[in-house]
Amino acid sequence: MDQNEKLKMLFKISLFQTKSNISSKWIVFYFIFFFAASYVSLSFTHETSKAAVNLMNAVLFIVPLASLLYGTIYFYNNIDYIIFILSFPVKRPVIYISLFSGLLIPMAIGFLTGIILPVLLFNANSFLSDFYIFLPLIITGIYLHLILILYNFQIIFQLLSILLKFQIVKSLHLLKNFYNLFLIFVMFSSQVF
Amino acid sequence: MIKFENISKSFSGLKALDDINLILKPKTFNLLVGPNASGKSTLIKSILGLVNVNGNLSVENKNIRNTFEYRNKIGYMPQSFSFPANLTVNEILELVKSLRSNKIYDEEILYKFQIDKIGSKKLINLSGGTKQKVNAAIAFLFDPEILILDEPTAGLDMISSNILKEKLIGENQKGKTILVTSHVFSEFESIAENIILLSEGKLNHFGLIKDLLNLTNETKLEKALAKWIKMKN
Repeated sequence: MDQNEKLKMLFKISLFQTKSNISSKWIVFYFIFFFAASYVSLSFTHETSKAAVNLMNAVLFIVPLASLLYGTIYFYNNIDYIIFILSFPVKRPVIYISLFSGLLIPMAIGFLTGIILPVLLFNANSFLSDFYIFLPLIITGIYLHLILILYNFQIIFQLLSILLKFQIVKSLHLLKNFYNLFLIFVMFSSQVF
Repeated sequence: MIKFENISKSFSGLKALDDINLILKPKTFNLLVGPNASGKSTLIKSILGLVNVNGNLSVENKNIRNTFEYRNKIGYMPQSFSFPANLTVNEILELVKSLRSNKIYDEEILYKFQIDKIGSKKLINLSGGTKQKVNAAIAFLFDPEILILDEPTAGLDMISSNILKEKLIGENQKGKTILVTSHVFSEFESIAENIILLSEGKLNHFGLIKDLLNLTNETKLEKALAKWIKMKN
């Protein structure tokens, strides 16, 4: 398999995963949440910089939580599909990267459009200057999506490989329970600290 | 040819496959049967490289360990259809076409099942039987040398089931190696050549169906298998 073919496969799987995820009700809800937060924030403060600070607080809390939760739902719901794709002559890293980007892109699009659209609605004339104020928020949000989805994937795949290596897991139910405990721990610790 | 040499696989100490030695010759139609949890799915998954097994497993005289190119020769139909529900049938077909280097397509069954007419429909709106038809069409799409079908007729109506069986006969006559699992023996006993009986991960019987019928003095495969298991115990 040459490099071009690999890239083509990667692009195709990512594209269809993105297409499928973008119409998922979770991503629509994610967009609505950020749209509402951004809209409310702008309408209460009437000042872009203050709204950006308010939104940063929401982003720092919601993005990690949503990335971890939706990442797990996505992985768990697609387990049969992933197994089927694995039966094709495709290298494992290609599948890993495409599934990762297939989740990252829709979440990032939901987040970005949710944040930016209200800015555009409130003051289209000064959009460019407002956009610069929102830029640190956007960069932080995208960066959080990137590292947390990657972190989520890494944990799931590492857990899978460890459990399968030591043959602890007969079915994926044990893994699911184990991972649920981990998520509860993450949510609890994010509340405490 | 698919060759299993001392193939074993355990999950949590439970032996899913226990020292399987088996050769599936080219151009044969093999029916894989066995009770629940007898290791049928693990055997299929081992051919596809989805589970790591102990022993040597070769496809077309090449050991499959750490390789993936051999999967170009295999068409696989899983028991359940599992593509993302928000995609359309055409998108699914486009996706799977991009995953193979083979660019010659066998779309005969696609038209026979009239899947071309529902190309723009989303999977979420399709019935279980229609999804199963798409599933079958994908297995035949790349004109593979080896066909592995896990419960292919489950969820299909009588007409579609017959279309599928006719297609399988045709492919076998063209020289394809076929491995089918089914719980409804009557569906394949007249068209399959060999039977592979697994029980508790062990190869209980492998041979011609007509030989098994003669051995047990039965005319129906279901009865012959029950008698054979009793005789073995």
